[in-house]
Amino acid sequence: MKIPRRFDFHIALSLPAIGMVVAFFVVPMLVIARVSFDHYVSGGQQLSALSLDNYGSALTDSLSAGAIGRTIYLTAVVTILTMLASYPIAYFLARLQSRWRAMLLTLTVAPLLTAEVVRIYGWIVVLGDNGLVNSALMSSGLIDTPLRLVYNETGTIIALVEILMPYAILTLFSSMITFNLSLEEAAGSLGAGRYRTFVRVTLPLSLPGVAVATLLVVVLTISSYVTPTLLGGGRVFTAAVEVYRQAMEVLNWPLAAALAVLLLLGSGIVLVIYSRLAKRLEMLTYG
Amino acid sequence: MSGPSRTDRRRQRRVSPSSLAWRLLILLLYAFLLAPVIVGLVISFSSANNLAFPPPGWSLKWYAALLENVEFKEGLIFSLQLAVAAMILAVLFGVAVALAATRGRFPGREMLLNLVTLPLITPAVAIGLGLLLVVAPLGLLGSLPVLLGAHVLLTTPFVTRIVAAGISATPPDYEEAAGSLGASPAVRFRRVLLPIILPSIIASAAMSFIISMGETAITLFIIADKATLPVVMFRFVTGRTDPQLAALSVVFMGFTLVAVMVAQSTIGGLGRLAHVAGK
Repeated sequence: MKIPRRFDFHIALSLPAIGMVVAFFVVPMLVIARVSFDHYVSGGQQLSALSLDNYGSALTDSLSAGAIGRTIYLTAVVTILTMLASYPIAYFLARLQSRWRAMLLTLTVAPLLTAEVVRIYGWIVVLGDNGLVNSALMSSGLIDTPLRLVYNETGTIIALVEILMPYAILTLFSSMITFNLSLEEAAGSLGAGRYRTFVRVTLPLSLPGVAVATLLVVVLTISSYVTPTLLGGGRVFTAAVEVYRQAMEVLNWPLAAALAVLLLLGSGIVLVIYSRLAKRLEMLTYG
Repeated sequence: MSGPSRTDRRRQRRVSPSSLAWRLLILLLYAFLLAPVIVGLVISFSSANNLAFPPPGWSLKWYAALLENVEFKEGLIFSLQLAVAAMILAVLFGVAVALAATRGRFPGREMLLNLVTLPLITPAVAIGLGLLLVVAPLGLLGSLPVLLGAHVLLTTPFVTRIVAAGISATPPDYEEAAGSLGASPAVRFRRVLLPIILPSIIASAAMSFIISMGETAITLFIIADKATLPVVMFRFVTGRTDPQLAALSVVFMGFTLVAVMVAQSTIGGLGRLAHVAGK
């Protein structure tokens, strides 16, 4: 039994973090919302106004509107591929009991230690015209001319999947090791086969982790612009790429802000759906 | 955690066709995951001035070129300072919030977790743009407190999530038992909960360091002339395509790898300490 307290000291523990989030997140978000209604004058200068012109040009301008559609498509493809590629590794790692686990975990984290630009560089070498894949395919006689695998959407998707995999694997792995392996052992000793144990015990238990990992991958894909910029070769225009270009190159801050607000709304909708989904899954698992 | 029993080990030794296919799948996925890193490592020793693979010959000239690159050296030092400072602050903030959200008894704990996690699930370009719009008019572009704040904002959710999961997985029974024996909240945390969740804290600190070291998307918006290493590399990769960047990435990986190894040895060391203290 808990003795009721008048003041819970735990509230005080959360104050520094709340202050930081307000100063470095809440205020900037409010400023974006405000600037998105301003009137663009010239590079880095805007007049205080209350107009919807920026949203109009963001949604009707063919480049901006196309960028929004491209973002949705790219996010769906990348997220599905990333989760499909990450789950087996996470499951494999969580089940591994030997000293290999620490080493393989380090190998999984290793790509994360490498800057995104470097891995993009690596993919250019692997997928380029005289890269690993094309020289292997050409010397085996399967193709005569090199496949175009970089500076387009194919290269962007391949690199994004690989770049986001460690995040998904680590999230899935940490959720998989929190549920007790003895549950699987119990299922096994009660006569369930390996497949049945996976489908009936492991998979349902890992679903909250899958939801969280998927959420992470979706959001990271939506906001990624380093990979689409460098590996897309100027052909892959996502909303995030366009925000950066408008903010840093064109210096049209009101338009960048309007695009960012649309991006925030889009990811916000996804987040609401996922948080409902995650809650329902939690109820199914623990309820 | 105890190792597998003898019967388990015997069962694992039998290799069926399905488990062979399973191992092949894992191998292929790892090959995919590690391909750019390994290829980058190989290319860093290339004697060519382009990115031809396999390299026509071997040399250390790209590492020698690194030693003379002042921009890279300054970027590396700045990134290391920023990442360590961000890690310390993120652990302090993150553990405190995780504790409040899981063990506190006040309304709005769920909302508190969501608030702290929000920056993590917000498109980084929006955060970057927002910070730019706030600090540029104030003349604070590239200032250390702003950069540090941005990095802590981005790393604290990782610490909070990982540590909160660790605390949630720990039944409150132990702390309540200690409490009923007269232990104060501070003692309950330090002597009971902390030893249990220490691995999560260390893991989250390492994660926070890694995130801060590699952060490019937000930093690009608020950086001035003094750039972090990934930002220097971003500018470099758009300008040139020779193996010097690969050599730099190998050095970069070396630094972060040392940090991870320190963290891992700390887990072992502190884990043993906690075990002794527990007795």
